[in-house]
Amino acid sequence: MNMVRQWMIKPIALLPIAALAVLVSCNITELSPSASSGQIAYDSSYANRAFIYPESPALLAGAGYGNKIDISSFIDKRNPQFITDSSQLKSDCGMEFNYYYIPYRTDAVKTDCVQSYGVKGALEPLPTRQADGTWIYAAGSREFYQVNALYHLNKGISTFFDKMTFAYKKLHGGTSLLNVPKNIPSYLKSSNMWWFKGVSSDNSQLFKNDFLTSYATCENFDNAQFSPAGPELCFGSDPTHPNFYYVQDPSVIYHELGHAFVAVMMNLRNGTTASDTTTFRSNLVSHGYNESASLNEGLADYFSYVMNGRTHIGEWALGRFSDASRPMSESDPMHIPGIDTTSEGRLSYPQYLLYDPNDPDHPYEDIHYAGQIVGHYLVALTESLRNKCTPEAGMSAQDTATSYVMMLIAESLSEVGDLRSVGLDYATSPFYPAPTSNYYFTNLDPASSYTWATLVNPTSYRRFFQTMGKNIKKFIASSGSGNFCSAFSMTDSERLLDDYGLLLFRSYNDNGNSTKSATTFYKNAISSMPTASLTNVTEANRRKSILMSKSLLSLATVTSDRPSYFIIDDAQSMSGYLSNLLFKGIATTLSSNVSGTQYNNNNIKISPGEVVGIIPNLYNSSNSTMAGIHILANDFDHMIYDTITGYYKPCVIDTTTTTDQGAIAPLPTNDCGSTMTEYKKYTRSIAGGPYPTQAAQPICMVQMDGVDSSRWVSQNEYRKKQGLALLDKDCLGYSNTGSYSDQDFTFNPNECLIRVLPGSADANFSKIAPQKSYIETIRSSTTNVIFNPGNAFVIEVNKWIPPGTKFRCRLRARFTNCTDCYTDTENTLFPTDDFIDSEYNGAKPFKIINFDFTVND
Amino acid sequence: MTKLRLLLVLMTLLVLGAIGYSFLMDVGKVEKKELVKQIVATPEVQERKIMGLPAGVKKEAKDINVQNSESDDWEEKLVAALKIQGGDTVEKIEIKKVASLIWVQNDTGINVESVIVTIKGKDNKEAMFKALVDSQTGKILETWDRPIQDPTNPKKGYRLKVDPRYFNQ
Repeated sequence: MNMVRQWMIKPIALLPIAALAVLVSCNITELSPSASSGQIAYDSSYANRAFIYPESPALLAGAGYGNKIDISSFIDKRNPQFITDSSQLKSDCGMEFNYYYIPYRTDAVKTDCVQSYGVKGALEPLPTRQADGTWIYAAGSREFYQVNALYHLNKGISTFFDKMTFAYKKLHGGTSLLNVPKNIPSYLKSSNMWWFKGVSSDNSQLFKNDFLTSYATCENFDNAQFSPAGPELCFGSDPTHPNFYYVQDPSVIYHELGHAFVAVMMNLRNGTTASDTTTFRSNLVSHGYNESASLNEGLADYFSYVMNGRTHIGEWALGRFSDASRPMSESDPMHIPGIDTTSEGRLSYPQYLLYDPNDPDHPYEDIHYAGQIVGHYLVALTESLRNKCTPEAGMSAQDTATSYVMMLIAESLSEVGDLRSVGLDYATSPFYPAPTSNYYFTNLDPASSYTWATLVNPTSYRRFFQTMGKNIKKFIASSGSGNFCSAFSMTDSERLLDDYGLLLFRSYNDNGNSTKSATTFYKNAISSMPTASLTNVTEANRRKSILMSKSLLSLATVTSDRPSYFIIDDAQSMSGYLSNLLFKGIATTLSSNVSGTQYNNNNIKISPGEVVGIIPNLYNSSNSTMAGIHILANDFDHMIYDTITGYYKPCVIDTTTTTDQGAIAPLPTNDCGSTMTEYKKYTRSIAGGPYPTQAAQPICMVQMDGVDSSRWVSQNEYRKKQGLALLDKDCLGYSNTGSYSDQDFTFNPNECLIRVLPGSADANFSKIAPQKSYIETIRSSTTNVIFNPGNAFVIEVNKWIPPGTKFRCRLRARFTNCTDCYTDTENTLFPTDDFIDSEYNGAKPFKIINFDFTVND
Repeated sequence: MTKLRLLLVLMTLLVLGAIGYSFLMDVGKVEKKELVKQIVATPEVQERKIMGLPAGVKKEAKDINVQNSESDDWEEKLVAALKIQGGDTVEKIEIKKVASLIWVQNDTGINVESVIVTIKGKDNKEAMFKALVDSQTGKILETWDRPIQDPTNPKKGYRLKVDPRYFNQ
């Protein structure tokens, strides 16, 4: 392996590079004559313009188009389009901020916010304007695609900021919504979060570059991608089809740009000023299947619709050679019979989660297919608003409708992505964020918000559409404060959500209770806020969105063709899994001194030293499809610290681990009876000291034999008492690869023997059919039985564990269409109110799945 | 035109020579294979910034009980961890340090390094993301701003196969 490190280069070394760059850029047409505009002389009316392909070649070519790809035949040579007036291939971004406090209305501009390159890593300079003042390059040349990419990127960015300007003005431009909690913050201009933070020069180090980079002809095969860390867009190609590039399809450019906009909208609240930003940034991502990433795909598809008004995406880039284009309306002829625009025929959740319209006989668990439900719903919502709402002044009905929906999306994403955890905006000044006290209304608190937003309580279909529904109620529908569209009622909203099976909640959780206390409301934070009230969904509007109890979910009992869980322990598969994880952006430090894939023996059992993938085979005992199943294997509040012994002991949280087996019963006098409102991790108070009482603890306990009986104890107690004599350095998770002698303070001795790998501490399953296990659901619908990588979580097994040692790991499971996973149905006063976030630090919202295993010899 | 091209070639050779000399002087202990084309600007850190404080709470680094120490080789340990995870699929690893921070959790803190990691695979795959790394051990504590990849055909993505022994028992 050829590893590369970065090294500082003396400034003087840059001089010859700069000289070369200047030399090359001064005469680029001589170096690349094929890319020049040729012999035609263009007059000044062509200045800053170029010929572009305005639409997908699939549409322009028609059905009878052959296999040869001739991009020049798709260019509109009658109407050269404006590209940029910069001398290089880059453009500015801008947004208006209309605030009610006259004359506070300003425009914000980011210079050179987007730049269009060709091949990534080629160190090529940005193309410069042609000598004749145009951007006309030879069709099919790299520069030609860079020019076309920038044209469509500019178009998309301009549209996005038109929508954002509209949203800001509607929410902050008047006085009618002053005392209504909002999430798009009034201080958005001063925070610079309206574009990628870091575009401002004072924070450029937050990203790799201080602009959005596009690579039109990325050397990335069979793939297009958005990397928020750049931020970068990369449009790849298919090497088996010469002259075929993703960038040839504008709908795919808009889709990838849509991912960039989701990243922007998720972080609108994650900075207040240029110097006050959260370190982490929110996004909707996954390394395999999950609902967050599915939402992102659906939202990105929808943005393509906003741009071109077409209810289909990727006819060229995805459909021409791969049969993978996607519809966004039930009226699309690609759909199977039975799917139509009636209430009964909508592409509903969870029925169509695995639906591949190109190959409907082979359902498949993937975020792009699951995201189609989101895209279809958003298009249907847009069409409904277009038909019902009075157009805004100077806007068409379609523009009005898409602007409303984009406002709802921005408002919803900024709430679920809020890592400062405040979740509402102070209404009396654009300069001061509020509340300034420690009132948190989303994602627990600033210390743990990233863990909550991405792992513990991530954005599921339920959370997103509940938030969307709340915002429709608040701003759009006739019953709300905004009343932007009096003809659109909450009945319309709820029935449309229900048509798509997305009425997955019983209330809008609009009482704004804090993440720490159910009795603290917005009004406690800001006195001008209205008194809290909870709005329930009208149950009569629920026809398709079936909810069920978490008690109906369990681990499957073993039969001849159905295990309770699958173990993946062959070295090749696990090496591939870990590599895939890394290339999905999840890096983790393996305990390579006491565990590794080299110990994997492929006996589909858990053996000392192995790195093992675990896929629980869950069973749905209800008569309806269960969907969005999420299993957590991360640390949580299920043990308490015993000050007498100095070890953690398990609490009784279900009927499986009893007091006879060493668990502590919950009592008013001990911490087992309550859930911590803080998520404590990495928090030893003094060097070498214990973790705080009731700190979140790893999920796996170990069975220790006593004189008369055995009991479940912490891994730390077992390694100290059972004669293992394992030092910290012999434990999993202890970093001792260096020469220093200091202690590893992020090490938890309660994961000394079995450690859930950070970054792979949860598993997601799209759906489980009624009266079936997950594998039975998947097997009935696919020819090859394979797992999505998102189905597995990973454990490391210490090589020093004696064979025969028994472990119990407390997995926490819940699912999206669940009645009691999100609301406390035992609360007689507010049975439809959502749990406060700190409850997710414990067991109550979850079905506990006890994963018992014995370490094999 | 010919003279111009000759001039270009000579200039290019001159430039490459200058770059090579500069690298050899600066990183003499590094093999040529390990040279990197990209210039990395590591900001000068006067004092570690603090992350994770509640809204409205202001603290200075000296006021926080920091648990771990700072190590000079955290970056090498980080690269080693990434190599272990990626195995032979990884061709290049680039680390760009963004900031040195103190991550406060429940009144105590950990020295951490905020970095941007770029992983290049042997099959033209690339992933760029941000990571928070323990300043002492190089242990990866969190990653974010992960890439979003859209394959031409979702059915060609990475999958785990079910072991047939599960159905033949």
